[in-house]
Amino acid sequence: MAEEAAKRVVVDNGGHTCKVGLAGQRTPTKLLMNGITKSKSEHRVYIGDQLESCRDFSSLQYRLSLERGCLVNWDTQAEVWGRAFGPEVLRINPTECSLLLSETPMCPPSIQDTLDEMVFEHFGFASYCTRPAPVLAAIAAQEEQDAPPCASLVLDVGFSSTHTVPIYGGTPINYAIRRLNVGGKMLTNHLKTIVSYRSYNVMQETHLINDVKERLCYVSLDFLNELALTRFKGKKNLLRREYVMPDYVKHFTGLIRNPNEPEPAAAPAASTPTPDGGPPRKKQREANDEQVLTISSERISVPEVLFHPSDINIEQAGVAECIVQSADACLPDLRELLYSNIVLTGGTSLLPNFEARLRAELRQLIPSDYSVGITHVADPLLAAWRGGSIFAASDSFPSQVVTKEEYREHGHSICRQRFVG
Amino acid sequence: MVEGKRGGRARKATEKVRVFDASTRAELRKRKLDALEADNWEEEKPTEEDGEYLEEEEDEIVAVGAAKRARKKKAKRDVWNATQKCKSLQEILDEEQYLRYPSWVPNFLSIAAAPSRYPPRRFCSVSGLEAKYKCPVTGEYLATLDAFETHRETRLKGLV
Repeated sequence: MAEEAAKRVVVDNGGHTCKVGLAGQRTPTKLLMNGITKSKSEHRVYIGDQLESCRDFSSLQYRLSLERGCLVNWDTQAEVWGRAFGPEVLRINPTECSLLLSETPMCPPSIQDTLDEMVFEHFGFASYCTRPAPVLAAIAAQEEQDAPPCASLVLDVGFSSTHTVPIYGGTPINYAIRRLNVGGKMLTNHLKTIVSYRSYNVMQETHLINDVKERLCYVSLDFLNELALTRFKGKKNLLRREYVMPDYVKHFTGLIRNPNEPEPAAAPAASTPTPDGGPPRKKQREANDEQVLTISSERISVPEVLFHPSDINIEQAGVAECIVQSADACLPDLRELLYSNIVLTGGTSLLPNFEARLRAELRQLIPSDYSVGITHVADPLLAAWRGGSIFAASDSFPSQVVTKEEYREHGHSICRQRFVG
Repeated sequence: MVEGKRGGRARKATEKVRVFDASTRAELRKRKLDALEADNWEEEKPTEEDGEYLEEEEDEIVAVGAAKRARKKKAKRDVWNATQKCKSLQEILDEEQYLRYPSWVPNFLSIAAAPSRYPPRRFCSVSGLEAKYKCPVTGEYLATLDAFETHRETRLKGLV
């Protein structure tokens, strides 16, 4: 069993990172950036995880394999997977392996057909199987719970989009899936545009702004009142933070300073500790000529897009309303169960306060006789992969796959039939 | 008489201003949203330096050509070619012809969430605060007079 399980490869092909590993493991062997990046200063193209060796993250150009969750750049994907299966990461021979792959819910069939071709003809896997990523995440969530209920509603807040997927008995209820076209990528790009308009032009600095987003943005529990605070310029503005941009010479990650805090607290964060009697902080800062980005209202207004996409003219409902739309599309008997078992996953759900805010919004939207239960899976970034690992290690997995012989015999149709749900 | 003159001047002033109609505004909004989804990849164009470099090593060109031919042959033998499959998502969706399906068949387009039941909120496009005012030209919302000044100096420049 152990020997056979070792041959099962699990790939969670996310919009930003591609998680690869072998079935039965707790954590993936490697996370690869799912795309290629080009550095201007180093004149190099990095494939996937080669980015780790990059020293200069300024003006990186990205070419991601997935667009809105759908695989479109096949050459990029082939290179990333080639690296993942190759000698540097997994060291496997695809012809002896079985592959479990995650995909976006309701992926267009023509993409799935091309995927079959790539898996069987380009890489030559012995057998493979796809599952929507939220379904895999639900498996991981079930494993954490003591008495898993038969139905759950997965909210997957990912990089390229947000999905709400009701799942009953392990299969998604496909007519009730909803997709919101807002994800981590949209948030980062939105932050990039507003910062570029208000202070520095950072349109090319995706990596830097992503760092700003991850470290400074949070979901506000009282949005309008907190936003009103940012009107003030001085100490009343509690949201204001200073982000010292990395110069890629002395320091490589940005520093965060709180201008409201008294100086001694902020002083250790400053890059060069001056001997006593040094110049006051303000002059010192000028002497260092560091570039400081002041962020205040952006900290809350950027994640707010998830809850109110209409704020940036996206004509779609926010995540809480998406859950309601999804549950309303299901049978009435199921709704109570779905609302009481919402599974929160995906990298963007790591924004602070996300769960609390979602709970508050849902409470307002759904009838009071339903209870709201939200489980935030442990390590949401890897939940789908972990679920995939459990699924691929199970005994029922071999009956779900399509083998190369079957593909040669029946073509794409057998894959479409067998991979439903 | 005086009033008539003023009216004429005001009319002239407003004639100069290009007010965006609803469709242009929608177009601009769509373009902005598409920009939020795009990668920033640019294909590198062969620069002049590369050409010079090739000329210098003229004696090696034969070898390079041979290698290229060999690679071409290999590519032909490999039936599956990744670069040929690349299409933009829009092209793929157009080819699927989802609109021909009945409305109850779920597909990639139909699972997009419906608009909110609640009216949109208005935020200043300059400062991000709650907005009271609206730019008459582009229809963007603005919170204060200062914000409008900034708006006029940046976005409206060249339009008015």
